[in-house]
Amino acid sequence: MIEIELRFYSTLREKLPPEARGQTTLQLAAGATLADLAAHFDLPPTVIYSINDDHAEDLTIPLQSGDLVRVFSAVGGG
Amino acid sequence: MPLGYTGKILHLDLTHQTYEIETPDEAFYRKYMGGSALAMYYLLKEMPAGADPLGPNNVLVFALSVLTGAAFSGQSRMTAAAKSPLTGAIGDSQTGGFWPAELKFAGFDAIVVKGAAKHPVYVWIHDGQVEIRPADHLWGQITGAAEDAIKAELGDQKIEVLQIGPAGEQQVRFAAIMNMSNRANGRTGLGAVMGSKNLKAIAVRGSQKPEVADKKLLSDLARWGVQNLPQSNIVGLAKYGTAETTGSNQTIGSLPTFNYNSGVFADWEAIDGTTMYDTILKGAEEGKQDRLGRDTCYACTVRCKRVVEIEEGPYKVDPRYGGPEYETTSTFGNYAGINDLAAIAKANEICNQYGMDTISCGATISWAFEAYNDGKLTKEDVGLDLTWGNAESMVKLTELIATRTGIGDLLAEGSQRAAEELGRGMADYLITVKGQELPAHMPQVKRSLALIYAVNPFGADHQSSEHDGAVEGDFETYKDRLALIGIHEQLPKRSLGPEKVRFALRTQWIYSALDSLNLCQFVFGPAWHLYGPDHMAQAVQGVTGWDVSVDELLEVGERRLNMMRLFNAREGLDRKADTLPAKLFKRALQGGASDGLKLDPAEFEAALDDYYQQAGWDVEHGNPMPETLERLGLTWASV
Repeated sequence: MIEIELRFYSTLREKLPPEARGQTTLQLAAGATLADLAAHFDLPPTVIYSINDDHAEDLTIPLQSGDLVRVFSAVGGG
Repeated sequence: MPLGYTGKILHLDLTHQTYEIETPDEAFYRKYMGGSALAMYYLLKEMPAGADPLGPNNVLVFALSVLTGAAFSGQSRMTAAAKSPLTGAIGDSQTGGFWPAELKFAGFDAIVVKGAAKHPVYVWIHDGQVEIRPADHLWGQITGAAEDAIKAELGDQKIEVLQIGPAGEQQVRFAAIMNMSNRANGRTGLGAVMGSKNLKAIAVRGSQKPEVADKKLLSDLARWGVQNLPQSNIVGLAKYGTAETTGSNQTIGSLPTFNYNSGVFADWEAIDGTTMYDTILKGAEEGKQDRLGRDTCYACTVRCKRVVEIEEGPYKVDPRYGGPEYETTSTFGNYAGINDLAAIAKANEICNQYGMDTISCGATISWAFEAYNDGKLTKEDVGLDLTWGNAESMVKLTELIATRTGIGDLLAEGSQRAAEELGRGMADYLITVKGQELPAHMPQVKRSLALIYAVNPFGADHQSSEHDGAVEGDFETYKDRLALIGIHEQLPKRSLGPEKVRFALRTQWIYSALDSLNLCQFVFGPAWHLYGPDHMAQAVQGVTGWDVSVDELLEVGERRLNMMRLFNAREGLDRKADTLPAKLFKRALQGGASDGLKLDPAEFEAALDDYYQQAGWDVEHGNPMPETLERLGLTWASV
């Protein structure tokens, strides 16, 4: 098993209980990837990920214990 | 009988204190549809070339569209347009709120303002009646006070007030036009134009809702929006505001920091939309911010507008003046390395009280910060410590600009004029196009945006085309909607070849149509928006009964852009004005996902060639070719 720090932002926070305010520690099987995380939370394909504050575009790379994963929804303007 | 529109254009002559009402035919409304396209028609027809933007010959148009006031989300918007005192080119800006729908109900589709009053006046329009009234007693008042005074004077709290604040009166070159004291026609300095005409406000009230062609089609459209909003891509914008994009921009390296020298800001989380929702949104302490901290526009169920309240600490903020959007948290935040959300909200409040564009104001301040930190400006010059991150000085500079006090008087001219005045290499720090400061999406990361920032007739703008993400990584999600405007293929990341240019141009046309229909660009658009281009056509069909297609709407957008280019050509602008700040080509970004990125001049010039060819404009000058004008029915406007 590995343990990661997970932070959801904006409406993605609703993937966790309200009291979590989008933050949790999550245990995953060794070798788990962002794709596994996406499947676990049913995340849409447009979300943006960072691992340890680096933009992560390859969803197949295995996560490591202690990684900080942030997940954002993506829109164009503003 | 007109359906959806009133059929009446109000022409105001402030010099002679008179007015006339024009009644154009249906063909006119179908050709221009409203908003910015309709405004361009009157500017080209009625303004002499070379007019002083702050003189009586400038013409200021407030234009609704055929859709304004109908019962669905995203339609209550208004375009203001005139020659810009900031750029000397066409000026154009949209706002939301309740004023647009109320003007329609008061009996008019647009107001064309000419001349200048000798003394301050305001205009009162109610159910087809027009009065020009003295406003000496309102001059100098901040927006909230003036709004209260006008409503009290006219004896109706339901009046909607469009106005300038003291910044517009003093002709700050990026002054905004405000309504509800918290909505802005922000960009291109049109508040200064209103100030130069001694026009303090336009108050409206009406009960004449135009009939529509197909009530069922419109109610179905509205119901579809309500049902699909919770699963849509804009539900985050609605709940957490546009500043919810702070984190995603940080992650892709497109969060302009230290005056555009970096695309990442270490303290981004302190100023993002989720933090704003949890901390300073009205009602946040009791968990009631969804009810108390979100505002809306007429008939819009999205409710994206922020309402901030801060009652303690150095920066108290009155909820009346709304709350900051992403552009504002960026320009007053990461642009100058500032991580104090309360200070940013205070700067936003000052801008809304005095009537200033938060983008140009914040970016002018960050320009000064960079020069200071590089030793080109001193504490003796400014009277303040502008070390990166100094929130107190940022707020103070905002006040000084709003009141044209001290160094603020120079900065109120905009960063480009201030750089020319100061000399000493200050131009090296500019982040302007045609004299207008860049918004908070980075051309180094989004290459189609680089092109649009350069060619857009009213200066750099982030709301004039779709951003690159829609046709890069997210293409599969949006391909059905993009196909409706002729975009069929995913494109490589950070490309700027002919296909990316085509994406830029065709999405520019549909966004131009949005600004002609005055539709909200979060609610309607070609990709991630609640409604797609097919819904735009349905809205026009339902309101007017016209059997319009998406292609016809694209042509309306193209027509507007061509009119804007014709306006600029009359003023002597050409391809040479379609450029980007030198530092974007010279200095590589530092840190994060965009580390090392800068723009390639050869790639950029080739993209310009492609763009002009695809647009039907001549490559040497970047102006519309005669056959293009003929195709669009614009030979009457040829230069």
